[in-house]
Amino acid sequence: MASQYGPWGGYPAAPSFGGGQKVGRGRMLGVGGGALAVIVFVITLIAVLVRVVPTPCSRGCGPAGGLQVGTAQVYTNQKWGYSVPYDPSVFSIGGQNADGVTLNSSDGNGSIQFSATSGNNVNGANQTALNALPSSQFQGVQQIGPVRGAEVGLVDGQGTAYSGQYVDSSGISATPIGVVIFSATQNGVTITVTAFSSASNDNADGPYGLSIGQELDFPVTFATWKGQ
Amino acid sequence: MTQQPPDDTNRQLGECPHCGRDVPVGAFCGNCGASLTAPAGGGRLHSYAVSPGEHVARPAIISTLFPHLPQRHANVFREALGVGVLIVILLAALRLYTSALIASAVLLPLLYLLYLYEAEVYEEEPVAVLVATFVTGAALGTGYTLVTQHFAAVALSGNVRGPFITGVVQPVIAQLLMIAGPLLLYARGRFTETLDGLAFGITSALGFTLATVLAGYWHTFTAPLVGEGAVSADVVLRVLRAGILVAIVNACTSGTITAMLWQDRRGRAARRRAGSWRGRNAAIWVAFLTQIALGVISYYIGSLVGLVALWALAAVLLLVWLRILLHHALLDDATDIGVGPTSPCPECHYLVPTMNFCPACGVDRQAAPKQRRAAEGGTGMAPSHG
Repeated sequence: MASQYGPWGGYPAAPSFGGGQKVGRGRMLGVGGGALAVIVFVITLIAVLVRVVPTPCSRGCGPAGGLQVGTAQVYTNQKWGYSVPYDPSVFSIGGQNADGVTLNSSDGNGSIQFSATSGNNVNGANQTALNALPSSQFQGVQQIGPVRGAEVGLVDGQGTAYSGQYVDSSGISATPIGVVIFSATQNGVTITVTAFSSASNDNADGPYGLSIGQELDFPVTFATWKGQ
Repeated sequence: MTQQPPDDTNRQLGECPHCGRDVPVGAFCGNCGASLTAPAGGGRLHSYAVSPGEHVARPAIISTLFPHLPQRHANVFREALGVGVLIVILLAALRLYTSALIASAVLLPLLYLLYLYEAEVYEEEPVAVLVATFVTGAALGTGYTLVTQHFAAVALSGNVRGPFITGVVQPVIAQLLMIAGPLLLYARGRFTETLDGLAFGITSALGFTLATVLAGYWHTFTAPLVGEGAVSADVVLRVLRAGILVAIVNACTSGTITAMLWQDRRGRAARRRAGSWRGRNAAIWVAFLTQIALGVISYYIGSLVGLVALWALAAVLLLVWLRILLHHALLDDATDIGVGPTSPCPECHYLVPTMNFCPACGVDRQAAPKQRRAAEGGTGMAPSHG
């Protein structure tokens, strides 16, 4: 009989304790696991069914109307001597330092950053720019492929396009984005362009998945290097 | 030491040095819950009132957020949570991003709904309770996300919303919305126990968090598939943060507020000193300030690893803080109800006098599943401290 008594004050153990458990291991596996599987499957299925399919341009899809001469403003970098023109109705200066400038699109849909450094290591500059993207906000960044025809101010360069997600600082929402990073070098100076915007589903209108792809063209193409 | 309890166990009584009542001899005072064997047994920090085998400061998810589960039942939920997290990690590692994120967002809310069913916290009103908590939380979470996304659509370049909006205004609004549903039940006055308030706050917070994840990340679910797949720690981290850590943090802050509101409503905390560090106001301040601190710091953190570490640390600290509050709240809740008839303790399974606390293991009988207490009530006393 001694084994029937517990260690705390000698209270006897309950002779048979059914426990009254409603959610045992079997029900947890069946109901809980089943419900989890069904919910995940159904929501995933809905997401796949409504998934946007990129629509490549077939015809009649030339560039949108460009900037009229004379309406541009120009950012000039004193340290490295390069200039970046931009349409003030499309971009505004979001920040700048000694090496470059960040242009934010007026609708908040994206951003372009120009940054210069000494040397001619284009790949190194691209990697530095990629590493500089804050991982807390730029998540799931995956390489898409090279940026064909990359250039900065008519100087040929190299770069890579990426896809990813931009997670809001509060962490409650995420937006698919496109990111391009490319650099060009001339006379011992390397200029790196980092651009990102919400992802475009139109491959023609949004090169490399950037919805601001066309707006990106103007400041990049018409940037001028020191001495030009 | 002379009085005999009114049942067939023929137990001796002794005076509790903490509350002064004559209580059955045992390891714990059945009236006030104090340890009768530890030198400073009043606070009994070594023995959590919900799960006496655990230290109060132990950051355990199940025994903190699911307090009505006896140890044997808690193991089932503990295993389910562990397996669920492993499945989420596996899906994320395989880059099944959509499935992993949905599974992580659904896991805790689903477990909690099963817990409500298991413990019957809702008593005879399951529909009313679930609508006021989970459904209301989910609806408010969806609305909140859609509204903030509408304004956030112009914030991708970071030139519109700053740290004040992102780090202060949004978290405060979200926290208020998470406790809005439970306040409907608070106003009704039907449910009176501290653990009722805790369960309602947690349920609402989990519904809110589930909705914000699904609505907030919907665009990424439906985005075109691009890139090459490879096992990614990055994906694992962001899925765990978005689905699990945020849910735990929100559950802790909301549960803290509602538990303390519920305890305060009938003046049962009167024994505590005014302005106590574990009072209602302190609990509310800590909850809101934590949400604000997380919002502001997250705004400036650039590293995903740092972000996940921050939220994991916050989850751990909040779990401990919530346990400390609950532990003391349950001890404070105890009212003198005398020595009841013998019944099996749901925690240790010994036949003990029915009182506020089990004299053998010290578990608070308020933490027993409600249907069990109702059954005990049919034969005698169903302790609810209320």
